Amino acid sequence: MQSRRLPNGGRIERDRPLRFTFNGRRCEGYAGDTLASALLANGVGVLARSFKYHRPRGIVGSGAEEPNALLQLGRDGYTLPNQRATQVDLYDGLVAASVNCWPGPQFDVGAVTSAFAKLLPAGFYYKTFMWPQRFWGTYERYIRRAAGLGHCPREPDPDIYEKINVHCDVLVIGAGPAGIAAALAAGKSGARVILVDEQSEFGGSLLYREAEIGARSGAEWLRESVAALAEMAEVTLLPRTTAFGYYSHNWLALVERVTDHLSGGAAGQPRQRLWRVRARQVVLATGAIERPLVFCNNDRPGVMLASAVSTYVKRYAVRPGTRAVVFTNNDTAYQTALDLQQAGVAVVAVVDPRDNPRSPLVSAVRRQQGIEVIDGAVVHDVFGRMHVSGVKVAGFDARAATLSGASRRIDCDLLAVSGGWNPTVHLHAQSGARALFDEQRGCFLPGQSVQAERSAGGCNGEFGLKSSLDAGAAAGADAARATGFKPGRKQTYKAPVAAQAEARLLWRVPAQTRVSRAPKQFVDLQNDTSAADLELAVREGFHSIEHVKRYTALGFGTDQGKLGNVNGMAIVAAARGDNPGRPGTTTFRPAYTPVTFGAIAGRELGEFFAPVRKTAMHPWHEARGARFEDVGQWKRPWFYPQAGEDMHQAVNRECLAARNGVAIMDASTLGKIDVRGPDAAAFLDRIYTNSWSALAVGRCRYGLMLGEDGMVMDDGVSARLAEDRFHMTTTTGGAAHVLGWMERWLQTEWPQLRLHLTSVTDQWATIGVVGPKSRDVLRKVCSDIDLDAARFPFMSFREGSVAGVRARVFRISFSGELGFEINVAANYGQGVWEAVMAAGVEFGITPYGTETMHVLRAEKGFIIVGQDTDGSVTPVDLGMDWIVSKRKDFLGRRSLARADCVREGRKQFVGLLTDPPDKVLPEGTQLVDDANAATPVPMIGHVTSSYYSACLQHSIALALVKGGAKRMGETVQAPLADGHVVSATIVDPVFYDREGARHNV
Amino acid sequence: MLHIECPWCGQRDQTEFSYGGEAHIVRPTDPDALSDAQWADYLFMRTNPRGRHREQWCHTSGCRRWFNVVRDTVSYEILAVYRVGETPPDTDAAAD
Amino acid sequence: MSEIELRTPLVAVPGLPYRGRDIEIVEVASQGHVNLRGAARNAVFKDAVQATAGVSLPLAANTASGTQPPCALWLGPDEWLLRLPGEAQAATCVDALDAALAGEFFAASDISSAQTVLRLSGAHARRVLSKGCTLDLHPGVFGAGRCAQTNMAQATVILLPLADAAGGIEVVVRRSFADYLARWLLDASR
Ligand SMILES: [Zn+2]
Repeated sequence: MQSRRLPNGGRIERDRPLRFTFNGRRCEGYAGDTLASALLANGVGVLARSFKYHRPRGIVGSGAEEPNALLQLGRDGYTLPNQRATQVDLYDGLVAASVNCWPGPQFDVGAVTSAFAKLLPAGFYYKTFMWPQRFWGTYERYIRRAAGLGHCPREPDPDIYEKINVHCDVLVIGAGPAGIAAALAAGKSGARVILVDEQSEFGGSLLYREAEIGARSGAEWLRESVAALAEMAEVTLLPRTTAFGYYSHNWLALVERVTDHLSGGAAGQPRQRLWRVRARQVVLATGAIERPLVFCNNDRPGVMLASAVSTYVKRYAVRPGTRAVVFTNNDTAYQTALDLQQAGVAVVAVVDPRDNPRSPLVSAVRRQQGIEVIDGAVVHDVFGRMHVSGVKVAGFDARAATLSGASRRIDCDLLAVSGGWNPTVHLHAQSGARALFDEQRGCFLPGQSVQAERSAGGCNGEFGLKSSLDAGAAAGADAARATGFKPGRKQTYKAPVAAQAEARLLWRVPAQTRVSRAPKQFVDLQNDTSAADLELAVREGFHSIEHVKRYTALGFGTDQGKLGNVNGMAIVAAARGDNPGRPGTTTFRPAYTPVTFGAIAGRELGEFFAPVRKTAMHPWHEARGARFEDVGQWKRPWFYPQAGEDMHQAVNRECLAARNGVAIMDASTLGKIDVRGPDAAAFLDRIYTNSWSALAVGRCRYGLMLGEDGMVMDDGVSARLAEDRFHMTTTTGGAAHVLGWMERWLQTEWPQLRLHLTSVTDQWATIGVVGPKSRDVLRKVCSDIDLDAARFPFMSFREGSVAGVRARVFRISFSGELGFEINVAANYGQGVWEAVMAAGVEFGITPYGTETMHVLRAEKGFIIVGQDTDGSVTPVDLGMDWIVSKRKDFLGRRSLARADCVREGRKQFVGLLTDPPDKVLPEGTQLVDDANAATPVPMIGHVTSSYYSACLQHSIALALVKGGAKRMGETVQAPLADGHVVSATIVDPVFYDREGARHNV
Repeated sequence: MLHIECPWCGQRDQTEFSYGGEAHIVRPTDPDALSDAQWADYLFMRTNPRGRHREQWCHTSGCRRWFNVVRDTVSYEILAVYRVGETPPDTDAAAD
Repeated sequence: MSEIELRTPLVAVPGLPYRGRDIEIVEVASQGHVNLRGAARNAVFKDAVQATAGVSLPLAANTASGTQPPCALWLGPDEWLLRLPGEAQAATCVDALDAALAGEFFAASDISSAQTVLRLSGAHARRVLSKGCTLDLHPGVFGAGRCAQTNMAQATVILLPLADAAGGIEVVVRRSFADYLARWLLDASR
């Protein structure tokens, strides 16, 4: 039952009816409707309750400015909170519900708050609930329950969102007359143009205002112009797309609602698409938003912006009321009076604070039968609680800014208001420019551009159709010219120019009593901020508009104060005794309208949240049932459980295999850098703490790298391939950083050094073969390298082949056992791995993962940078003085002599043996001397690594303990989160094979 | 999102670059000759101007070259780019 | 070279090769890739590359000597990627350069296993790539003869526009990122 639908007219498709529900009620609308127009057509007046006082609220606007009609859409995972009904295209099966009221907007339990409204002044929460401070958490819980606008979906979002990056010469934002004219001018020049508009249809004001452009009607011009633009190969048209953010260097973010308006979405299509646009030039043609008027009870359902009323009547063929009063301080709303009357709505009065305004439009209204034009008067109050039932009209003494004469009641169910127009300067301001108050036009206008942007049309204060079109054409042409295109002769449009009577600025209508005692005059409808609140804030000393905003919540809503801010600023100015523009605007921040998290996330979730790097042997690990661990971006085998094994059992088995037989691990993730050039060794001397010039060709060395602050940054074993060439390795997680670090020193500080750095991490698959029987295994697959212990000694490398594949084999050990690292081209990595596995079968070769690697190295007291160090640990703290050269300078060396690095009591690297021996301390456990000491208990260190050692049959841990090197044999305590306290003895960090006999075989 | 001109590759998106902090900090040739305070000054102390700042950037995802940028820390405007070893251009003249 | 089976980085990615509407994605595997460092003004170096690989090194930034191997792609003021028809040629090329340029300051690294190539073709190829890349991929700006190192989604890549009419592009990606990027591109092509 579309009781309020006009029998004909509008841009809706009457042959495409759509069904939807609102709060469970079945409703019907048409394709081309917004949810708001369809609700109005169905006679829905009250659809929300206000945020603070739970006052009934109805639809006010028809676009992004709407403060009240925020609805919950959809169900389950598809649900979206806070959707502006005015910007939701209706689709079949749409489910909408009110928010912030229970059980519904007609009867709302929370409305009792209204009765206490006098007790809830600005800053009420700050004043009341901040003391005593420790109760805030309790208060907050209740306040939040009482507040809130809608609810978030509890299920994962089943829709897909995507992003796209584009470049263009000219981005035109807003497809009203100015924007279309700009796009035409720029597009014809051949420039790459993107034209966006947040509405489903291009046209802006032409969609609801009759016009004449050249010899055509506005509608015809619109149709032809859009068709012409669509023909241009380099022009992209994006309806249903909001330009919501203007960032540095002409980079803008747009969100396109691709399938939001389709019932059930569209298979394969994203719901929304985030466009990231780098525009060489931007034309802002964002129009203007009508300004409401501030008077008592101006929030009652049925009080609407005049332009919105015209939009509903003309574009959607909906009658928002049956008996209307228009209240305006300027000419534009007189057209609304005519629109209403043409639609069969009785317009009983036009109330205008101006004295005898004269213009063709005003005269046209005066000529209408039944419309009383009451000039020199204001609507100062509204009758009706759930809906407007009448207005109070009184004379207006502009000089004294008071009401004059007796007040009279006029019955009506619709009040269309206009307080003038606010140019939509949001994006201009976001670009870094400052909007300036124009005293003459009584609004903020774009100031000096700081980025490559220009404003045209309503957003630049050019409110007439002809001036908009001409300004748009000029802006489009100028923008194209600025990007090197030739737009041709300047174009001007033929459109009638109607003289208008000057508007009378009216920021706040006087009340019959003092403002603080009068019924509320709302400035910000979404946040229930009233004129009295603003005046109170100023009285209490909040003079900066930014402070007033935070104290009163003015403009803090999801609408960012698109309706209320300018009125609010002027009211604050008046309370301060300033000119209206003096306080300035609050900061305009993205997003212009709210953007869903889905659009911001795009596809960067799940498997695409971060890159997953895989080694050449990854499929083998997967097939073998490995459990994986994330190390940096890599997936590394963590352990390989066999049937029935838990992690603990698997790791124990893997450890014992490495210690007693032979085990194999994938070490491909280590960073590898080819360091090559005559100065390669000299360069490494500066990068590493130890010396590399003296390293013989064919030998390997362990190196430690410090930041210039002296703290351990990375480590690894590197080999000298030739006099001028090293194969350097880094930690898995540090690879990119180390390469960048070395390039930086090479390029910026030591460009005279002759060497090249090339990342070869991905080139080599690295297979670690570890254990007493590793040589036996290798011998079976490697015939051209002499593996004899003396001729291929520890810490050396050989080139040859493994399983017939060219290989670099390093005899090194991170486990303390005899070990080899085979490097082969990664395309053959899995093949060689399989060949080594096959060769090892007779020796019981066991694949092992990172957990076992950690246990084996911890048994040997080898550090892992980033686990046992945290950027505050020097080599001396680690007891690794032996690797710090005294004979040369290197990065970080001077810092080791800083007072803080040589002081007593620094945390030092030690081993811990727990009591009981099977208790494995959680990594990160804090250590204290006496767990029962008075709080705060002095902390003396923490556990960095902790495992059960199957080989030693004892829990072992590595820790950083204050002065630990001098505390060997002493006992410390480790209080656990569960309340238990475990004792541990400080020991040398090398738990196993201190002499290093095992790898030297 | 800044649009930065790599002196080799041309204009690229900020996401291709990494930031390196203040430019023209020269590593002392003889660190041992410095007091702790002097060393700390080299190591930790950086200007933090409101306005023009000479800083290092690296075209990490591109040519991997480090270079210098003069950037206004208020407007984020990039006033000049120049290669390592080149003298900083006189941006006062260019910007005013 | 051996009995050992060659496995390309993308051998295990389901859905490859992909043929969708206006978009095809295939792996161009087992080509030769050589990372080359040296001074562009060093004639000995340039001549040796010409003689060994049969390509002349492009000196203008972001350009390539061709779109099909053998060709050289500019990567930096002293860095190029040599693309050769097969990985055996890469190994041979590196050995030959090492021999020919002994004593010269240069570096040649065989990275044939370190990266692979995804070829995107069809009318939608560039649009798909634009979802993950901030470069201007308009054919008028980024056509055959050009190349660029950039980011694609969260991986670093080299892009090489092809000479075909549909504006196909090859994406050179590091081996360890190839699986991620291929899945990402398949998803973006859906
Ligand atoms: Zn670059």
